[in-house]
Amino acid sequence: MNRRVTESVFLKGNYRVRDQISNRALILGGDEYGIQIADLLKRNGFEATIFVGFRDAHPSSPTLDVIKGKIEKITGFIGDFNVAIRTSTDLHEIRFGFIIAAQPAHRRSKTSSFGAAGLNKVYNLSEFKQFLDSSGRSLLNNDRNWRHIAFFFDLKGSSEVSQFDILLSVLDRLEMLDQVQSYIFTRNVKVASGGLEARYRYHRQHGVVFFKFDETEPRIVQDGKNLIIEFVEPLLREEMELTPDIIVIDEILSPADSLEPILNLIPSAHVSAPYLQPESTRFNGVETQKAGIYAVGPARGAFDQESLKADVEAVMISLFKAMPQLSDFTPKLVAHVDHDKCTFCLTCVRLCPHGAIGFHSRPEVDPLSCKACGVCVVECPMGAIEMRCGDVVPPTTEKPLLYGAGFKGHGRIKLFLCARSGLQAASRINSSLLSDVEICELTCAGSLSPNFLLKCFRDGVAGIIVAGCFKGNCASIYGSTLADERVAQVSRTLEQAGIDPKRLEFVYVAGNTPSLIVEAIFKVKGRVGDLNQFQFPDSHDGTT
Amino acid sequence: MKKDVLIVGGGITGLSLSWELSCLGINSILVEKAPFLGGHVSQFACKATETCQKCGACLLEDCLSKLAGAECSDILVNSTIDSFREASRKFNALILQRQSQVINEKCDDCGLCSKVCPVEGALLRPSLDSRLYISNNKCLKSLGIQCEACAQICPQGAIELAEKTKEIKIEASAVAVCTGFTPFDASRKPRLGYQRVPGVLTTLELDSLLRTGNFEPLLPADELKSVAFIQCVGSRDAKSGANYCSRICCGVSIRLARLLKNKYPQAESTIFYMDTQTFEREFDKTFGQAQNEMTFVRAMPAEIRSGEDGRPEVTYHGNDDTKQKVAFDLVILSIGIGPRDPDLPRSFPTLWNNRDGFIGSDDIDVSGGHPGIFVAGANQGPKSITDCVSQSILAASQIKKYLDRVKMGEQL
Repeated sequence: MNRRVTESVFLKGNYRVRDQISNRALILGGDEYGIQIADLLKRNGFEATIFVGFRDAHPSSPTLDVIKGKIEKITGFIGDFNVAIRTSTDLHEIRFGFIIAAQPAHRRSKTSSFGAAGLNKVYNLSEFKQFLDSSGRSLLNNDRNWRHIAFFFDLKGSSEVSQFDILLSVLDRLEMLDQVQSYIFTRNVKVASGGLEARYRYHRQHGVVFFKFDETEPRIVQDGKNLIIEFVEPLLREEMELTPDIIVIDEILSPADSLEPILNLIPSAHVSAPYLQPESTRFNGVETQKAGIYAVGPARGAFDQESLKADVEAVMISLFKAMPQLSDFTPKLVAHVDHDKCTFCLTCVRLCPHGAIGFHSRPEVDPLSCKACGVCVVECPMGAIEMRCGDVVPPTTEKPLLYGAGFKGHGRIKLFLCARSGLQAASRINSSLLSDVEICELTCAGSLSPNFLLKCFRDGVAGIIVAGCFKGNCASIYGSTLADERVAQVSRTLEQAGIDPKRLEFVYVAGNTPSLIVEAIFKVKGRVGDLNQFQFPDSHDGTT
Repeated sequence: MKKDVLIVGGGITGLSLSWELSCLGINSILVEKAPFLGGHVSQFACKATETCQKCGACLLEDCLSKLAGAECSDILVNSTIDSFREASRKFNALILQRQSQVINEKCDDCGLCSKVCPVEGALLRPSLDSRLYISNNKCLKSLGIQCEACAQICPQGAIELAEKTKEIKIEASAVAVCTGFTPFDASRKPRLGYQRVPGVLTTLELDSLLRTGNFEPLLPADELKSVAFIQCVGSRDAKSGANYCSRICCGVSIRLARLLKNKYPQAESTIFYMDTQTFEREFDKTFGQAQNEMTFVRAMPAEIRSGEDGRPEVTYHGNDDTKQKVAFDLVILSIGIGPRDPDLPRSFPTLWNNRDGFIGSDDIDVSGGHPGIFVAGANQGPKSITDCVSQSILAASQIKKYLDRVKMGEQL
């Protein structure tokens, strides 16, 4: 884009210019997928360092750069993260451009929920799979004299599809042993992945017994040396007992617990914790709220092999997308802190959903991480933050938050629409319904200030509708929720000022719900009715 | 026209792939048969109650608005691939684009055109809140018959009919097939009463009805008190040729049931199921909440008939080993995702068929079985909207890898 504009911005010193962009990525997790990512990055001109914890196995690949230790702290932004790692000897501070969380899933054993922790005939599913894999052909001798093997799946907490995949491959192996009979005790089989249903059906038809429970769950009782499973047979509704040779129980999967330092880096991450990626359809692939931090597989709550494989390449794509931004500094709308007004209250640092504001002797907005959601602009008690596009400052300080007031006509009703939802929906509305409303585009509903709403009323607007994304769908996590609260606050102010608060309406919408906006327009139009423009009482000039 | 990638199909996968490629600086041209973009997703309702239910239907709007500003992605609607040829690692395709259209700016939705049109479905709305389109496969004028009824009656002059088709020649280095799925035809299971018993709908129909925000054409809102959802219609059913789980239906039904409850608080839902599939992270929490909001019955109904009061009656084998008959106001068949013939010219290279009867590879991999041809989205296997978007990112990555290799080869 316009490179000259950018350069002039940087010369003026509006933004903190980075002296150098690091193309080194820190990959947390050194299992198969961590190594794959490292390889892929290296082949594409990036540098990669793999980090593993003290207790983790050292990655097998000899050519990789590996660091073992504990992450104490991470600070910084995309292209310029500062990571403090304590190794067995020293505390290192290393600069990285990107951070990729690719640790294997944390497996929590369910044995204790069945009161069977530590019993020597009880295995965890992954342990058992490992045992089968390592025993190879010797397993065929069945020297352990296994006859009856019971599997617990999806009991005491629901299980992932990937666990069922493992269970089926275990059954594949056991099929080779003649005398082994497998019993599966489960609530639901999880077959929502390619080919699993066919494999499940195969085993069902080839002798594996499945018991599916609804209300009651089986219990494990210890009787001397034997383990007994007591259960109510779901079809016959009779109490039964089974004495298996061993019991294999599946595990609960969760993200690695070492994500703490990263979660601390993103203020809005408490909403999604323990996962790094918010549970929102706005975040595709491996992107997280914060630029430069990517969540692979378990870190974003996806545990199946397919997602993991796709995520490995998605990391690559995300880095490719980020690089031109890093090198070109394309001008875009970003927040800018006026340091003369700032009183170091750090509200912005605490609230920025994208972790784009850091504190280096004073609050600084990182232009590459800023998504222009405007949450900080409105929340700053000193009014010290405003949005700027490149070096073009919006002409009036009256409307610091609005850019590109869209569409046409200056109606009596004003619509403030989030560009990610409301505006898309409004573009689907037949223009005849929008003839006497004025549409203003917001980057996020969170960028609308209560003062501005009051000013609009003072300027003679009869009704205002604010539309933001549904809770859980806001790309700035809590932008629309904040907007909802602010509108409620303004409504109270209006009521105190003797103005009908029903003139102001907040609606949650999505890009495909134009009907909700139409509904709101009719509602507010009906309330405003034939009322003339009204005067704000002098004592309330709207600046409260 | 020279392009890097030819994308076949303008559903969520194709559109999202087009966007991902444009982010990587790769030129693409997207060819869509229908007059509108978005495919199935354009008919889906937003399932949000007070909070977003993460169905992903709004990702389409997101994708379309992003693409509006993208520089290197071209889109052709109303177009079909007429012929296809491969020569020295380049694919040459001849695209036929039909030109008839309704001009959105002029149209004031008076509906006169639909009244005079002699062919059903020639003037179509993909969803009830959408604008009007001319389906060129059905419009008589496009088929060479002199009919201009709609254009003559339109008071706004908003309908442009054209006999001619435009020919566009495209040379591309890679092709991505994103032709989507066929929803299971519920009338193939006659005992479930679809199209025979009034009040039996599919999830797809309910979804598009809910999109408009009102249900009135079907049932007065306050009369909707009980709804049954029947899971696994056309999935996990080897007899119907669907020996796979469609992945999405558990999520779809639970979301729809919640949406109904939100719109019509007196509507109680019952879900008949085999197994519930994990479709969200922290599924236990979601499912636990769902169990408080609706009833789950583990049974596959034997048949659905019209009861004495005219409401559909579900017969199933109850928990206490007896035959149960319960009447509901609405019965929703949660239909599965089936493979779809991509409708490509005969000269198109043969694509892989995978284990579940879809095209493409067995794995998450997007290769199509021929160098330079990629298969992504729901035509490769059942996928949710977010899965499709994720796969389009993977496809973009693999296409980039392939194009880089081809370029290297050229230099050598």
